[in-house]
Amino acid sequence: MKEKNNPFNITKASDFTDEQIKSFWVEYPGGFEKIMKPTSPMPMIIRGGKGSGKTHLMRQYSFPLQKLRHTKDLLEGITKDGYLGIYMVCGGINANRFYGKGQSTEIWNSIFAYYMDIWLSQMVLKTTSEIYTDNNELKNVEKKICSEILNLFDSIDNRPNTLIGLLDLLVSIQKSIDFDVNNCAITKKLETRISVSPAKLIFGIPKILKKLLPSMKKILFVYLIDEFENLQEEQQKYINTLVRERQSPSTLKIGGRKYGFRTKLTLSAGEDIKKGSEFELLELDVNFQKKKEYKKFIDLLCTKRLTKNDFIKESSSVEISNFFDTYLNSPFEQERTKFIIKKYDGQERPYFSSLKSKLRDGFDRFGLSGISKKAEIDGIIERLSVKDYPLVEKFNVFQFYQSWSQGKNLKAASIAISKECIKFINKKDGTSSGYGTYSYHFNYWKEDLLIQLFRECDQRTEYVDFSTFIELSHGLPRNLLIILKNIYRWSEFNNEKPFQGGKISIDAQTRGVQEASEWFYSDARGANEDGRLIRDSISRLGELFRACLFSDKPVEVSSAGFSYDPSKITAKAQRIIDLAEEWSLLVKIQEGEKNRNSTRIDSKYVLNKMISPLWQLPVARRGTILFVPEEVNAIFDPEQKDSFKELLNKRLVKMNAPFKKTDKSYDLFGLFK
Amino acid sequence: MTDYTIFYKDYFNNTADVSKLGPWDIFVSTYSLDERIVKVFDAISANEKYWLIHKEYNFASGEVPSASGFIKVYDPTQREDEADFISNFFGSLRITDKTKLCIDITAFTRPTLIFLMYFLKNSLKLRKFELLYSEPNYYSAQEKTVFAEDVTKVSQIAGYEGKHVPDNLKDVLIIGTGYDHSLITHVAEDKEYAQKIKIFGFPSLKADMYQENILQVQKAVEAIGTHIAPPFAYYAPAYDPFVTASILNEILENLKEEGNYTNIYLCPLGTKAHVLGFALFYLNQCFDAPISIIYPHCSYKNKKDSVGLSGVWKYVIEFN
Repeated sequence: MKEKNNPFNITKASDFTDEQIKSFWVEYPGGFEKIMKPTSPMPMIIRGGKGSGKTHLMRQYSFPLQKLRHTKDLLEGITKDGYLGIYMVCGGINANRFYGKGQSTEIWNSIFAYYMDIWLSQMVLKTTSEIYTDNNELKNVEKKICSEILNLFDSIDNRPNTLIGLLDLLVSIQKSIDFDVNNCAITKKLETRISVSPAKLIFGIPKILKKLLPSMKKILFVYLIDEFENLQEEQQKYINTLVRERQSPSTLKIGGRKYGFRTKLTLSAGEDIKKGSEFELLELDVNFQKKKEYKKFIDLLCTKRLTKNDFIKESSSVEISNFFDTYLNSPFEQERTKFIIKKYDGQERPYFSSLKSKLRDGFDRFGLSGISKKAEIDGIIERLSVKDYPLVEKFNVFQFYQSWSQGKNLKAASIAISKECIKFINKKDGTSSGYGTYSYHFNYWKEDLLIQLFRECDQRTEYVDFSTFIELSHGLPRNLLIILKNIYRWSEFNNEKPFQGGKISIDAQTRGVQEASEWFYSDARGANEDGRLIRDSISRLGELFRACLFSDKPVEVSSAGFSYDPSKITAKAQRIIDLAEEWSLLVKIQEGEKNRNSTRIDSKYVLNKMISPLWQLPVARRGTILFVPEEVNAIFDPEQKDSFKELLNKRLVKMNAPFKKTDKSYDLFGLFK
Repeated sequence: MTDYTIFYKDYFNNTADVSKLGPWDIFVSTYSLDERIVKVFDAISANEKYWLIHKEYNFASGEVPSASGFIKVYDPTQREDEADFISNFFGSLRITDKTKLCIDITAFTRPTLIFLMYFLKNSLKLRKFELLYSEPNYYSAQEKTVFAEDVTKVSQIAGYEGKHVPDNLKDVLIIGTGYDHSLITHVAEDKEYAQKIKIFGFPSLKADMYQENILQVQKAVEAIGTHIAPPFAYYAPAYDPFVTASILNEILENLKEEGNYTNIYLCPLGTKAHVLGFALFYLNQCFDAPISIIYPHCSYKNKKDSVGLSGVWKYVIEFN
């Protein structure tokens, strides 16, 4: 039998050929056309995190893909489409050479604009001559087209009368600019003669084609400019100016990473381009964070990968989640926790050892409410024990810590917890029976307590199930593909047959997720000084969430989000938060968080779910921690990072027994080693 | 096509042998705190010796050597790009085709070394000169050694900018892989749309350095792909610039044969011997083609990245 390749090996559109882009294309529920609006003359800025699918989307609307879709009659197909996609990647123009070398910014701005115009014009002309290869319509007016295009130049010596000749002319102009720009590094002289005004060719050529070629009458020329982040700020101003001064029948769609849009300024009197009136903004990953549609889209994406790689048949209807092993539903999560019963047979379970030691220490140092003799501590442990259901036991311990933190009579608390617990267990199914009850709280805290339980019993946190992977990808399809790619590798390594019968093991799923998470963290930040500052800040934030999650009495459930008053933090802290958001390590919650003590709306962010596994955080998100300004500054402002340990300790004192400031320094999890 | 195998190279096991070389009229080296740099500098016999100070090493005041006797120091007050640095320094010397010139390339930053080759060939029009490259006993933190970081920009190197074409459907990026995986990722992402070809340093300078290299490259696998065999991966000795240039020529011929490229980008991130091979290949075969050398310029370079000195290579460079 033929060895199968990992169907998720290719994770980037740039690694796909045009044929593969076409063949692996899947529609978003409702259609991408509604999102991309290829026939709309309004310019569009497509902003998205790394791996949000910008390139795939832009290439789908480019001429090479139009050509593949309209194999019978290209011109008719393009006419029906109503647009012609001229796709360029900014990386190809090698923009960084239009800088320095002893020349002023103004000179470079002019040269860059000229070069860009010549570059894009070549693409338009090459595409046009390809469309009309076997069509006489062009031949009849070719001389006239050339003449009118040449008239756009201020002065030009050579006057070719075919499109091919005109293309050759543009190539020679481009090479001459290349020569000047390249030599300038050594000669420090730049004497390029600019022979056409900025934008005149870019907007002028489509106008001429529309006027002289009847079949182009209703076609919109869409300049699809990808990888905007590869242009410098001054160069982006030129493109912004093109957006502002767009002329029919042309428009622009500009794609770039979130951190790559360096300016909104134009070269027109230093004014900004305006969202709404001058361009439409498409935030791709915000769009993908709409759960229902995203899930459907990801299902289709994975099914297509499996179909094209012969794992499943074209027509078969498959539930992707069925390929992954998962836990059987069992009352009180008995299935997932039964290893604890075996592992600690005849021994005290670790959460009880820890509680006992803290009670003894607390008794000696401060005394305990409701406990007069140290020996009573064993009775407390006894009452909280439920040998067959470790998770229920763990929940009892958690409730007991809550009572302790509130200064309650601890003996009475243990009796009350035990009573409620027996009622709950006797119900047998572990389901919730209404707000405020023991069962309600059990189900509310269950996932966090399971993570604590696993950690205390030396078991790693497990990330399983297809729906978890979709959650983890946090609106970036490439993340999902990388998770599945790694899971597939681990599954093969474990001698399984992934997607070919049998289930993919929990071990392969967890290892695959962990690896993808590590990759994302190292990849999603710049390799410069800012990148290091972002990494350090996110690392402090992750440690704080982890310390809260693993505390005796977490205040918020499943928290990996934080809110703060933006008016009270330093500019440096806010800058790093913004950068971390642009690099997709933090996700901004646009509506913010209503402050509990006032009418103020605080800024709110969550940690990208993709990096949750690095700190064993749960994937499901509910709680948000309100940070005081000093905490935000200590996490994000590099100049205030030294106060982080102290502020974290201050927070943890309220969350860990004995819930009092002691002379002991809290280094609960070896965070500062 | 140039036959790179006819270039002359020699290997010396110890500094005693190195001290017997020369004497040269001018010897130039870039200063770092590595033993392999300082020992060779001290052993060399020359009428004038120059230390070049690269700002990327971020030396503290007092850390750099002072001029004394026939030893001079070029330490510009401001950071200069590679073209200005080399032009200003070498432009100030009286070098002719008759000058016996030797340069230790070991501690040069890669962009400076690449431009140096362009400058010696095209500006000073030298036909023959000699280069030294020293091997360490081991890198200071084995595979975790960071040589350069804090990328400020990915850009073409002056003199190696080529003449590119707008069609980039079949662009190719050829990376000479080194230990700095963040640099590999950075450059691969700058040319994300290009097909990636890797050149590994094998045989490596020391037996374990190949494994160390692979461990680091693995961290950039999402950006450059997993292939480890032709036509996506090739091997050239880490100490041999001439074989490196020959391998690049082989890759180019293969690509031409298959009609399989629009633009080519070369990015040498391996040993300085590899870097030299990339520069030689370009200067001999790529002028005016849609080919350029690009580099992720860094603001930080490790001033002590290795331990010991295990041997010295001498390369004799000759241009037509």
